Amino acid sequence: MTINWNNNISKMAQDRLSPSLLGDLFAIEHKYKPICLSAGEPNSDFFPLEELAPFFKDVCKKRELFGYYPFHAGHVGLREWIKNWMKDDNIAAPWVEVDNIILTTGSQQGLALLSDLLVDEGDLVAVEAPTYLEALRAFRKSGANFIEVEADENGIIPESFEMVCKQNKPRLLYTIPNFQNPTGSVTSLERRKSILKIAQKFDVVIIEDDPYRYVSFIDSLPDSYMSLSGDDDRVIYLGSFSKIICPGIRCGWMIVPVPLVKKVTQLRHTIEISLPASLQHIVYCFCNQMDRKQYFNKIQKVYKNRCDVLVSTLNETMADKGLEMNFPKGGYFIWSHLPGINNMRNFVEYSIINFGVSVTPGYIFYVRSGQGLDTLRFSFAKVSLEEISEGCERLARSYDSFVAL
Amino acid sequence: MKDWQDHMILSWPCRNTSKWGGIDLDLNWENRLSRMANNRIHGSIFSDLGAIEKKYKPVCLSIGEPATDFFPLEDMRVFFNAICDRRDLFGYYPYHAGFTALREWIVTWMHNDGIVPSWVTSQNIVLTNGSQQALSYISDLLVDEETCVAVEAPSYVEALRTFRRAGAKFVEIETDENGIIPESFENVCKEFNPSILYTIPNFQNPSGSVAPIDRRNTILDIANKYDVVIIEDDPYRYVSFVDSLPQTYIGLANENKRVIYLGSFSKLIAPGIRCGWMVLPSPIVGKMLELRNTIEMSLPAPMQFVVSEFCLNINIHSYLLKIQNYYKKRCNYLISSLDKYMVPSGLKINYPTGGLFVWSQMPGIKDDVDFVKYAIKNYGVSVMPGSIFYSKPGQGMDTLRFSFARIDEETAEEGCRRLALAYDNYIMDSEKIKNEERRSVIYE
Repeated sequence: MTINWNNNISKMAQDRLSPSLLGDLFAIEHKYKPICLSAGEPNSDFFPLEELAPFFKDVCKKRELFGYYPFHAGHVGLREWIKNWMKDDNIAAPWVEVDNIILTTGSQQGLALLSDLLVDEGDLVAVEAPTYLEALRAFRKSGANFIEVEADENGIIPESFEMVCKQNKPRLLYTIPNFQNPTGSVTSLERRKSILKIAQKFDVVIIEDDPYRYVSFIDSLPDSYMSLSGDDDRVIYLGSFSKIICPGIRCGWMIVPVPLVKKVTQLRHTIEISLPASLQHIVYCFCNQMDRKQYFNKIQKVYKNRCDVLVSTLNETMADKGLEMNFPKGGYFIWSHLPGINNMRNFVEYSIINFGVSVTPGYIFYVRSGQGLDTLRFSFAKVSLEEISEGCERLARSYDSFVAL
Repeated sequence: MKDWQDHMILSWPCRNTSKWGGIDLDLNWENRLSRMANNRIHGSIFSDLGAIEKKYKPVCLSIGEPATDFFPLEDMRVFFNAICDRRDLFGYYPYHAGFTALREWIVTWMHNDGIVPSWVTSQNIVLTNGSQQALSYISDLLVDEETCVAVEAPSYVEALRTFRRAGAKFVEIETDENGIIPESFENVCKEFNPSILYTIPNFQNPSGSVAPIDRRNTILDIANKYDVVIIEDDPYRYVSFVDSLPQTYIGLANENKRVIYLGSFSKLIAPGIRCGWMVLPSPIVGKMLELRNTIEMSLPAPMQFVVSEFCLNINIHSYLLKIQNYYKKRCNYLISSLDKYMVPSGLKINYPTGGLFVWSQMPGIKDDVDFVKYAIKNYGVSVMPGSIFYSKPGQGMDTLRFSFARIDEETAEEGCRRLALAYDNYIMDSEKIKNEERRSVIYE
């Protein structure tokens, strides 16, 4: 009998997995190597590899890190360091101890674990419109359906969230409160408080995804949902070293309420019998010797500079085409509207292939189709200052040429 | 088909969780958890035993993990030193199947050993963070709620936890010292129509058995007849004390692409390197990568680079010989100490031809978990209770698994001496308890 694998694929894999839209574009970029105003990935020039090198060299002396690592929550020293950091910065709630910090191989793994733990088939997850689409793929895998909450330049609109809670009874709210992907918005303190109250009233769990927090161009940020929630342990916080150190180090963390800790580690134990303790140890050594304030200042300066240059260059090259932008206060992204393009996906592909510049079409960040058709997301993360000016000029030429078609 | 209720293990492994302390969840969070989290995620008995071991620090005849002095870290240092020159590996790695050079090395190696059919190319190799992750992805990809998975009795219990998470029901196949008994597999196929057979054909965990070639052929024929997917888990292949092994299932199946093969570097290099691989038939590679990309945005490419460079720079043949000698020596230490201290008391052992384990039966023991806890606490020696390797409770209550992975001559001798003491006293204590119970009945 020849095997027909279609009959052997699980319902989940048949119905709920789909290729990543970003992945599709990535494949085209990979082929044409454009100037990349699209990728939400730090430039490799910034990876602190000189500082990491001695720790990579030393790790071989720590033989015990190369066995099965006995702590399923991850490297104990690093978790302790993160706990203190999160306390110093007033992000963690008072009840947070080292046991509540669970290391992940990046935020996506955190999201995958949480969706397995919290989402049943048909459950509703409330999400910002627009939002980070790759996160939703993890929820979708567990069977989630999505309900969109309206957002503006100050993040989620509380009235919209309350309406959604009343009408649709979501189980979870997934939100990126700081320098949101794709809009760059920061949810104001007042709104956070209202949203938390609504979540309490309707018993909604909040997943607070915060990867861009330390790529900030302003002096202070509103309190985290987790610290605002205090003893009401309904917030799960996700952090990541991808934007702070580098993505290849594969290290992030979550802060989970006490009642969840055991379930998370038990679940993870079915996925990974042991953790990459040696990599986690390298992150630990790196963190332990750094002057946090100084290090983050450096990161912030570099990205702020790029952001400023991208904003002013877009003003010079694209404003006359009708481009309207948000001015971000941190993160990697500029969100914009560009009128006059009837098919943004075609325009993006056209720009990559014919003019060697890539941007991300904004409609892919919406759950319901038909929205954001005139939106574009720019990223200043991966490009040098020279590439920014060249990229914007190429985009302007591509625009003229595309609308003339 | 018979009623599932009578034959499936519905609440597995509740026996273990009740025994080792259940989980008390805040009521709010219990309501918030998914059905899967509430019903199919349980503590691992390995972790529970690990916790007791950590407290009492016994002589360890239980753990299937090599001693740290075995890890070839001196030979790897040069690659760890070189890693930071590869800036490109520290961004998001664009190939979801893993570091390309390592996948190519693996495919060449497997072809040189003649264990995979000619259709296998590097496109069929997907790197994982270890075999458990491979099993986790495969479960997500192939297992629905109620999907029936046929497993060896006994089998590697951590693998079963992963299938269980995805909703699998298990049906056990009888085995002996030559692995799966084909007649039992055929009966299981007829009665329960399993979708998947999970098997460790070489130096099985826990029994150490190797399935001979004629059985493999028969089992493959049966899988073919009943359209069963075979998951061939082969982590101990290169820890072999014999000259040659029967052909792999994936090799035997050839153009009949119903076998998924799992390999691992944990026993070859070190578990902490977190690297294994799977060989997948082409029709499911795409789905597998889509699945992985929802769970991991990127891979630990720097680590995979280190493994790759290490593999490219060793003479694999002499390296494997070194591993084999290392473990063979340790196996002999354990066997001779068991022969000296435990066999006279009635212990029956399987003499392994490879792997890390000695499987045994101890006639006087009626509750292996109880005995093991007793031995750890009172005599400072740990072995693995055998009953935990069965998916259906109540079996193997007189079996024990020994591991020689991390022992030397002294620890083998001392461990077995302590175990013999523990055994004698355990039997005496239980006699005493029985007598006291009898007496208390008489005096009541």
